[in-house]
Amino acid sequence: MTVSSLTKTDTSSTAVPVVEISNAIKTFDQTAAVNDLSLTISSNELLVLVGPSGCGKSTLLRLIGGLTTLDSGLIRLYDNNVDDGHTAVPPEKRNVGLVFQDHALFPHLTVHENVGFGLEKRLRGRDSVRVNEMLELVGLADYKDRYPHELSGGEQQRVAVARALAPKPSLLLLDEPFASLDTNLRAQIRRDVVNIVRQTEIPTILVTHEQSEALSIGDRLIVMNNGRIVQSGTAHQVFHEPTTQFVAEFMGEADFLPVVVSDKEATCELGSARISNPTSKPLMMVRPDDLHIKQDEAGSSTLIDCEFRGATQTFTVQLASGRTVRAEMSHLEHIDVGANVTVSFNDGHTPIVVET
Amino acid sequence: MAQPAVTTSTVRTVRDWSSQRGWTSLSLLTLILVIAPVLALFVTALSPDFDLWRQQIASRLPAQLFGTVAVMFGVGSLALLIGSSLAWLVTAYRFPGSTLFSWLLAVPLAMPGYILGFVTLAVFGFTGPVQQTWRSWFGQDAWFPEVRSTFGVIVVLGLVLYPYVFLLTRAALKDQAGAAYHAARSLGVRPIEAARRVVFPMLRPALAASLAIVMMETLTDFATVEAFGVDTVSVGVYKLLVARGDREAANQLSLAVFAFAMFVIFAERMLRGRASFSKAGSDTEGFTPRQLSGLKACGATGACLAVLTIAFAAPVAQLLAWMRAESQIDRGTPLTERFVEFASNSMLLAASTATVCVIVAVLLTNTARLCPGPLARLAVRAATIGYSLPGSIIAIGVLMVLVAVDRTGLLPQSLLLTGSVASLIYGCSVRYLGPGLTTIESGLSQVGSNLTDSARSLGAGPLAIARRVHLPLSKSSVLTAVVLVSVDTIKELPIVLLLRPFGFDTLSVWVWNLSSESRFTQAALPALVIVLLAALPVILLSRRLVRPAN
Repeated sequence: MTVSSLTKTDTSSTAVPVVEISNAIKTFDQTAAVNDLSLTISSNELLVLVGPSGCGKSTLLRLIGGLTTLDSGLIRLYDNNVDDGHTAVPPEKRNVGLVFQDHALFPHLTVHENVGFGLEKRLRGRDSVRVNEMLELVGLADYKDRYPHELSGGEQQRVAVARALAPKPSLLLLDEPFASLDTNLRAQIRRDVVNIVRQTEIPTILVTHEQSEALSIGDRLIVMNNGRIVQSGTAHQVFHEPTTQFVAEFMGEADFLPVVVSDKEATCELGSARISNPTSKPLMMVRPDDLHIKQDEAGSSTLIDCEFRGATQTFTVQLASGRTVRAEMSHLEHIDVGANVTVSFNDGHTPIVVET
Repeated sequence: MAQPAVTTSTVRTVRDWSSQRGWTSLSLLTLILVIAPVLALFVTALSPDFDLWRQQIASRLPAQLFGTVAVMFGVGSLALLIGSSLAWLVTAYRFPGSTLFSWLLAVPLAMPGYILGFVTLAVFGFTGPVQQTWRSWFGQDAWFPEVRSTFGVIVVLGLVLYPYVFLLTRAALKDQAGAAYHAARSLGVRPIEAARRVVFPMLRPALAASLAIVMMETLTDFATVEAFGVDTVSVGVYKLLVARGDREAANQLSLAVFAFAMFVIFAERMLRGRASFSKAGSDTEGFTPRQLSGLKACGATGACLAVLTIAFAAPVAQLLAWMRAESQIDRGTPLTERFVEFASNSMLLAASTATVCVIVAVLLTNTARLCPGPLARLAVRAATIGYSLPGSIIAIGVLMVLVAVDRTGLLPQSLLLTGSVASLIYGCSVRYLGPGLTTIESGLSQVGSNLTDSARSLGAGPLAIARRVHLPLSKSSVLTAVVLVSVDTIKELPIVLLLRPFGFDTLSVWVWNLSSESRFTQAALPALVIVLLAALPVILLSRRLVRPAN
């Protein structure tokens, strides 16, 4: 390894990847938390790592931040090796900002002192420009003398973000930052924080186990399971064009129907679709919002349940084969449970072939 | 906002976590210094002299082993019972005096076992006033329990050692168990059930840790146990060493003490289980105490008062009475004119030892947190080993190390001369690093690991984290460590007896000399001073713990 600096030399260029991870392996007690994973993040994007708990996403974040080290593989930040499985740059030398789920504010320091923690001594005094700038950014300029326990969860969250941003990190890592917040406030705080982060134009990786959060935030989503990346793409791609049954189920409500494959087409009892990627064990995925049902005495399907959800209602339909699918429709539709119905696709919606 | 500015922090070639390597090396060096005396002993003990075992040791060993087990078991149970019940009482309930008792009950910590011991013997012993009155009422042959017995020493040591259990349990109750207890109550569980199912499991680490301290204190006590005529391994070592001057035999016997100490350490690990209750960054809610009234309130107040009176107030009153009686006799307390000198010797020793112990403890615990690894963990465990050995054994070990270093001629004679104050401080530090380290370690464990990780990701190196995060957040545990170590040092007897330079007398030596000649009334003044000196920091600390700053 050579002596160099962890510096983003040219912010306008996308030539230098922010993070490059190759063949990363990290094992705890013989369980691979991160299993031969490779990933490149190459622009000022807001990347969301999403997956069920225990899928290795937080471990991956800690590896990038240097809080834990690789068993083997390589992690590079801005063209510098920071961990090659033998030697690792300690976290304090990586210039990576971190925000934890529990905010981890220093309870013995005021808001001002917390935000100034990562700055050099001469830069973090009472009238620190940087600290005040950060507090303005997160809208907490009036709170500088308060202690963490005097703040609400959302305010603590914003202090944690300001603290992580103050030393001008070249990469920001957010580990389930909204999980500890009250559900009612979460959406608002999430918007605020995401806006703040976007304003700073610092590349950011956010870890979450909530699919709705992932869909609403990320420029790019990376879905993880069992220590591996199972799909990567925009929110739209991951939701509407999942490649596997796991991603389809994890990212939203979905029903699966068996298919018959002929040539390049897969056909299920509701329709057919082209197979774009060859799969060994294909299944057809339909999401409730894809389907429309209509009362029809001659229909071969039966409505067996209706769940009211406020703006919409979800109908569960038993198809001729005995399998069930769900359809999400306006609350204005009224069909009696037990009625015969026909099932069709909404305009522009098609079934998707996924791998089992 | 502007583009993320170009940072100029340079990254060293990191073949290892370079800053960590410095810490680890420093810790290792310290560790070697700390365990050198123990190692020296161990090496001698490993080459057993079978003749010696057969002749001098083996004949008395079974009785000594039995005595040791009996006293440790008895004192452990009694201290656990008194300490944890009182802690629960003052934390979970409100009753007249409960706030006062919540710190006052720690005060018997200031009463050295050998002082409560000689007061007890003088008052309740065969020639004491109690038994004389008893005989005058019920006749010369009236039965009276034998005070100078295993039972007697268990009661005395239980009464002076329960504050360890009380303090640690109360702190754990306040810090952690409050929210869980109330959660359990809200789930419809009765208080007793909630205590058993939620609070007790959460307290287990604190109970195990305090029980271990109590056991160690008991194992290593020789002055009290000897005064009560009970034969333990520690007494055996001391007798071999002082009475017969047989260092070899004492070394050999120390193996047995080693075995006991290892057992206690192992048992504490087992008792503590895999539980680790590292608190998150935020504070959890404490207990909301329940108001007691009527008989229950009287009972609670009475129980606290009784313990306090028996363990502290009554013996202090007795000492005061003796001191007064003594001052009215013309012969005067011998050596009173040297009192100031003795007291300042004691305090000098206590302050130096506490400083050394705290610095070493902070270094070792921070290394374990910041540069985690088997080595750092081992260092923390190994450094407490001195606390598990009787002072007399440590003293021999220190002498052996000093002699060895002396022979190399590396250090100036004046520093090394066996019997210097420095060697005394060294001995006491090796002996009392344990309680300091354990306290600071548990204080640090209250600082969530996310705080450490946050600080690291914000660019703070190990030293900065220790200074800016760990120390401020574990300040009270550092204070506690200072108090525990100084109180222990003021009370320390065998190390001082064996390592002091000629003419360097401390208060404890003074008391020991007088009480071992049954000159109880004359020992009252220095004994009182020790108790008061020790009580002052205990009170300060204990009150601080009740109302923590911030």
